[in-house]
Amino acid sequence: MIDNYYLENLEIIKKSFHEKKDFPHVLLFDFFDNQDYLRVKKQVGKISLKREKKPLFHSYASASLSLELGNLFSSQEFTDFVLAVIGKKLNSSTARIYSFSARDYTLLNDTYNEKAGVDILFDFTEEWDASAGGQITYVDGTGDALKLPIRRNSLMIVRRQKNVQRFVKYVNHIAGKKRRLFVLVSIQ
Amino acid sequence: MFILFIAFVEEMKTLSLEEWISPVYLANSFPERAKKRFISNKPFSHLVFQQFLRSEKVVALEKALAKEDFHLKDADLFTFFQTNDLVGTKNKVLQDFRAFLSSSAFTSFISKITNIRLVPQKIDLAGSLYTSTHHLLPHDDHLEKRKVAFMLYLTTLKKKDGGALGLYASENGNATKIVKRIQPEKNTFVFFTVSKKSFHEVEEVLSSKKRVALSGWYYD
Repeated sequence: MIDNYYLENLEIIKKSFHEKKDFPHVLLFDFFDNQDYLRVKKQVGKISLKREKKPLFHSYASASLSLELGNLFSSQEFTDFVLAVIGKKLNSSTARIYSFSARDYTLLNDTYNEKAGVDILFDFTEEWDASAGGQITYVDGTGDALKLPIRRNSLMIVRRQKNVQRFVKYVNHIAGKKRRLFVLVSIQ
Repeated sequence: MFILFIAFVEEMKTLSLEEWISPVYLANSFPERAKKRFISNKPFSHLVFQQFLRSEKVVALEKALAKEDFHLKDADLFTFFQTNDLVGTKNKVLQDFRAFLSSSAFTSFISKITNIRLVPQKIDLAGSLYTSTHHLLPHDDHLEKRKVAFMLYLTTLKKKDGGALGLYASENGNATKIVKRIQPEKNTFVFFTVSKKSFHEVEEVLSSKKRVALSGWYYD
């Protein structure tokens, strides 16, 4: 499933992840073989997502992973790869699929700081105009930020260090009827 | 003593409400009538004064604000352009407007309507500019001593242009849904009580129209 290029260059990826001091992360485009990606994408379309709006916190639709998606992100190949990149064992994790369309967002919250950990994000978003918003953004309170690009079949691994928080930027009307779709596996 | 005298002279220069406000808002009985509407308005106390300033003042403010520097503000909560606090402006028209807003006479006018003790000479004031896709998501403005939020719209946006000020109903300290929308209309002055439930937002601007306003807060 994982593109051979990444399997063959694991050491380079690992080094790239660890040498970034402020926001350790890697962005791996065209992560799965295209045929495998398209097969999984088809399954994603069948998942029924539930809308949730708490105006002061977030607006989006989400769902637990389907059996097929769950199997993919907990497969031996995938977990071995992630473990090799981040260099430590995964303790507890939560995994959900999220859909953001026009007027959706998440906000940082003064009363709740997520514990440090690792985010594994896999993007199913097709043909997204970057000016439509929806970027997953990490901030550390100093003014520095990491904005992840939005691209189909991309795996992004981000270490959330102490005081680093994540939000999804408001999706504006440029998105039209398109959906911003991704899986987030959050590891403490 | 000399400094006090200077402050008095400065105050006198801006004391005249007639110089700035449309006559309709200057009747003796107006504050008392407005107070009743202010208190009863839902989801939290607010008022909308249309055609509030004398028209020549609005034209002058528009021109003056257009000369100020605007900076992009972009975070999880918002994307829009804003000036620095106009306390530092070198523009005479904006200096005079700020002096008028913070004068004892106008502060007392707002105090009478809101029934909140406000301190003259103590305001924040900045210009804002929203255009296509810009927004300010729900928040309450609440800070210690910040008592009344105000805004003067300098442009008009129709419903299809977006950019409405949305006021949220709340339950147990959480915003629930927008129950009132105020569409920006040139020369409209809007103000509301700042509290832990004054949840509001600026809805996304959906067209290339510019939503320009002067806004800020009064303190106690």
